[in-house]
Amino acid sequence: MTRIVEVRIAELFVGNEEHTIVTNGVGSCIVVLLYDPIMKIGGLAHAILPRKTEARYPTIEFAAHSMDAGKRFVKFADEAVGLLVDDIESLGGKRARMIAKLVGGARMFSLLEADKYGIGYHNTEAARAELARFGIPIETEVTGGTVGRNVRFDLATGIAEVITKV
Amino acid sequence: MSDQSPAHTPSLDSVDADQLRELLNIGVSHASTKLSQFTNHRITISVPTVGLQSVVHPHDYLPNPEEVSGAILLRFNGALEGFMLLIFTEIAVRHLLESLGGTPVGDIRTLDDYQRSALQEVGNIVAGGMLGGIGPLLSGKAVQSVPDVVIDSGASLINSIVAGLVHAHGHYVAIDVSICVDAREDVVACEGGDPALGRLFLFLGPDAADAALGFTRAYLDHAKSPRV
Repeated sequence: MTRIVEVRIAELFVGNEEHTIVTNGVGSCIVVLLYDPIMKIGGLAHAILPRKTEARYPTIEFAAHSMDAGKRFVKFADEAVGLLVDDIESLGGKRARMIAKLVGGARMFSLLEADKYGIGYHNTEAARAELARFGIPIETEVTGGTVGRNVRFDLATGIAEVITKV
Repeated sequence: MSDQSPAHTPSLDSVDADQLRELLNIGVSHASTKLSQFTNHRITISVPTVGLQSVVHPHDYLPNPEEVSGAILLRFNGALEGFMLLIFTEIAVRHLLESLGGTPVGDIRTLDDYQRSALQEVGNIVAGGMLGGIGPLLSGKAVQSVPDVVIDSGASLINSIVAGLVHAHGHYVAIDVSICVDAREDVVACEGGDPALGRLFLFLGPDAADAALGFTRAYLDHAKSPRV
């Protein structure tokens, strides 16, 4: 029986074919999905900012909400990729077989953006660059635009459904 | 805060929170009065809650974050730096627009320019009312931006704003107010019964919260000083 795991903002979860991972309310955040199709092991990270090395506040920890077992915090898109790779490999996955999908990186509010590109664009770029550094191909991506998205990632099949509300 | 500023160590004790709550209570009271006049409906508000926050789950802010909602975001600059977010349920958006336009409103995901403009005006009225209310307590003038109107799931709206605030400030102060439209005459605020149809958030960076506290302390000191 499939176990549904909800990953919230700034969280990460890695599981196997028993799991379907869902995350909702993906606006400017970037959702990184990694999957080993042979072992059917994969993970999803809902990162909120681009790069730890360029962050104004890289060390602030989250204490706003408790987290379910098996999940961990992740703030930055670049660190999300490394954590996903490590956790998938720890369950028996192989980096050489991994494929990635990206969802999110929208520009929801023009008023919030610090520059003409916006946080969503930078989040997407950071995830792409880190995946390239790890040599993991991006199979597909649904990024940019101005709408929020929900994601449902079935680890039995590797299929990611992307749902919009508008 | 500029990019070069050292990281601000955030803190907010209960006295600070009470002080900010009182300051914003004045502001939102004025804002609700203005909105009542503008919409010709009875608008009531809750007592603000104040908290120092970083990443939060949308459920912490909205009871049904997966539902489509209408958001109106404004930026404050000057004596008060921050963002004001109004977020209404789909029912409340339709209710407000039908009150203002006099004609039925269908799916809020297909609002026309006039309807979006009407929501912007709601934002202007509330922000103007708030700044008018707390203006005497600020040592300088605060101005508001043109409102940004977005229709989407509440979770996407909240998460995007949280990302922007965490990027800019690390932590931020959130002041949260529930808004009831057409509440009963005997209900002073949303607390204790009627479900809130809208929420008003004021988000301040730590520096802006410090500045607001400084204004209110100075005002209180002045009020307590002996008259000659």
